[in-house]
Amino acid sequence: MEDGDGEEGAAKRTKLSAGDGGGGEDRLSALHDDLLVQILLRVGTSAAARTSVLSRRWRSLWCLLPELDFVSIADARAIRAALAYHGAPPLRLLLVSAVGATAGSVAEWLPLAARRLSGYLGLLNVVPKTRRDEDQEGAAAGEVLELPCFGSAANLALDLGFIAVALPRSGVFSRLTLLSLDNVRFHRPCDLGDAVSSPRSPFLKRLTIQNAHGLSNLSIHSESLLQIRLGGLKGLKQLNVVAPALSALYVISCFSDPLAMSQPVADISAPQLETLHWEDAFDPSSVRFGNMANLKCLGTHFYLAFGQEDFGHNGDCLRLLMPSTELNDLENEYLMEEMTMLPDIMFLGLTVLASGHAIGPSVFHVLRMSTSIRRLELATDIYSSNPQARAACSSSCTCDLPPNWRTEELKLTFLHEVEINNFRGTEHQIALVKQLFGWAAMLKDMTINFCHSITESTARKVCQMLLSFSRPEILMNFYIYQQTTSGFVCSKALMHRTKLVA
Amino acid sequence: MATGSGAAAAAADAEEKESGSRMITLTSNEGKAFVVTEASARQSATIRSMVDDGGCVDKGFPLPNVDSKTLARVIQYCDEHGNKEAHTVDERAALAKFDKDFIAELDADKAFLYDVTMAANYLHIQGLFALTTQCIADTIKGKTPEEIRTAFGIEYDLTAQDEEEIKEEDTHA
Repeated sequence: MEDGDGEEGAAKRTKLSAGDGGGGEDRLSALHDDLLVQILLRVGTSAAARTSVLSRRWRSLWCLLPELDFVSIADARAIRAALAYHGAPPLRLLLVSAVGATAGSVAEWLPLAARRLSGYLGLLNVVPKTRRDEDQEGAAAGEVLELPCFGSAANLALDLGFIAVALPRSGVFSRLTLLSLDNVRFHRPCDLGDAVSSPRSPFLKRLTIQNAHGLSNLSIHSESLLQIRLGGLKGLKQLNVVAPALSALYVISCFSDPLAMSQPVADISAPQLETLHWEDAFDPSSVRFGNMANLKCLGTHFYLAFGQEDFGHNGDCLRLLMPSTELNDLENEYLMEEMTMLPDIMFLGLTVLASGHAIGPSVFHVLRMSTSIRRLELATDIYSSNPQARAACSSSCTCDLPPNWRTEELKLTFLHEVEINNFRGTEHQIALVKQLFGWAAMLKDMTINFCHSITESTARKVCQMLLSFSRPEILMNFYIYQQTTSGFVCSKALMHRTKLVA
Repeated sequence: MATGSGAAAAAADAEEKESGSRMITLTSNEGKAFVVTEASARQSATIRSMVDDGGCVDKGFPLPNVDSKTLARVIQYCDEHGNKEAHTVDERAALAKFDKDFIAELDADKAFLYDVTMAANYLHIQGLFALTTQCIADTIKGKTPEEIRTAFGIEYDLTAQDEEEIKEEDTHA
């Protein structure tokens, strides 16, 4: 046994040999603390806590657990009691899930957790939707959770259920590598940037802030950060990032709040950046990206193909993709024509929300401007749970216009690999795949991942049809998702052929 | 090996080590010697590190904390897991069946189960330790305190003050 015994532990130690064979004697309680803790770890926190009423020997044993999982016990006092136990070891894991916890109830145990935690803290505070509005008033009334400084924790993932929080003004998060804050209301004035920047979080590698209120100005200066993900920071007015090691930045729906309609102001200096997802309002006059010579992946806001464009999303997308082009007023009903050029792309990923309409015209339009691509990844309707989206539109629908995509020549001579996700095998989708075979004369590999709701027999029929359009030199891979007891985790190769029989 | 007398001997030694055919002697605290394959002995991380550090393989390993009865049972587990393959589905199923029968037999004799648990902990035999501690944990899970006391022969010795505290905790739980 590698580690030393506590005084109490040594006293409890027994000789490691078979005694009289047990009988009515309580040999379990005579086991060493370490062993009993190992057993209680397998019992789980809530059942382990109930062993505290067995006898004096068992009274506080469960408090020695190095991992605590309060997923089914939400009582703040029980959490506090376990964390406060004198002589307990550092915590490698603390999971708390609560329903409707308030700033006051979390404050009962969070400072103790900060003192003991060496590993991971996961907090999930589920707030019923009706309670959120009340809480907003509660926050105004002044109940604010003072976040302690976690001096030795490695990972913090807090979903606060819109509790109002204040960040510690001083202290170093000296071992923190991952910080994730969800559904959080920052109490003003809030200097999140100071807390996550290098002087106070010297080893922070990944930062995620999602669905936050009260953060109007975020300024991060970090030598260590590799990934920053900001989503739904309502009311964000200015973002400054200086991060020499950063490789991925995601900014999603922070500036584009339709109610605020504020000008996005940002200054990003991240010379090692490889992935940038700016799915947000974009204006090159106020959003400045420094040198990004290593950028490999650029993600944009969605683009509406049809409609009276009011929301500015298309403009955000186009300004990011066509920085040198003067945009006219976007008035056409078929909005794809506003997109007149794209950067030189090698791998193109397109997610299309078609809702049953034709995808051929708009995909053709994008491909026509991306003739140097080597790989195409196409996902269809992945966000749509609407059953109507699965039905095809009526035959009189104008979505299949303009029709040039069926007749006009398109040479994608470098395109070797195509992957299509969430494939349903609708008429519109099959028509597009058929055209792709014609456009990509050098195609070597095509993978079709069927939508999980497609039955195996339907998938097989669609496979046969696609194989009839294919060429012998193309490796065709088909996958369907089969429901297993643990959810949609099992992907099964339905067919896998290298050479087709003519 | 540090004790090897020449390149050829070292090579032969390495080959033997590779094939797992070398035999190792484990001695209980009652002085009884058990000769096992190296593959079987390597189930124990404690012995594995001593062997790899070039320890006294020839002299064997005395285990002053383990009695003969317990050691025999522990070796039964190590032989099964060390000497048999677990590559195919059938082989893994056979091992799972062995574990199930092994632990069912131990569970019937709690004192012996604790001895094997302590030996598995001392010898760092991860699989065996997981098997025995899980078995004890399963007995605790889903039972009332009174049922747990009965199952393990735990004596109720809480004081009035303890009971008061428990009552206090219960009102908040």
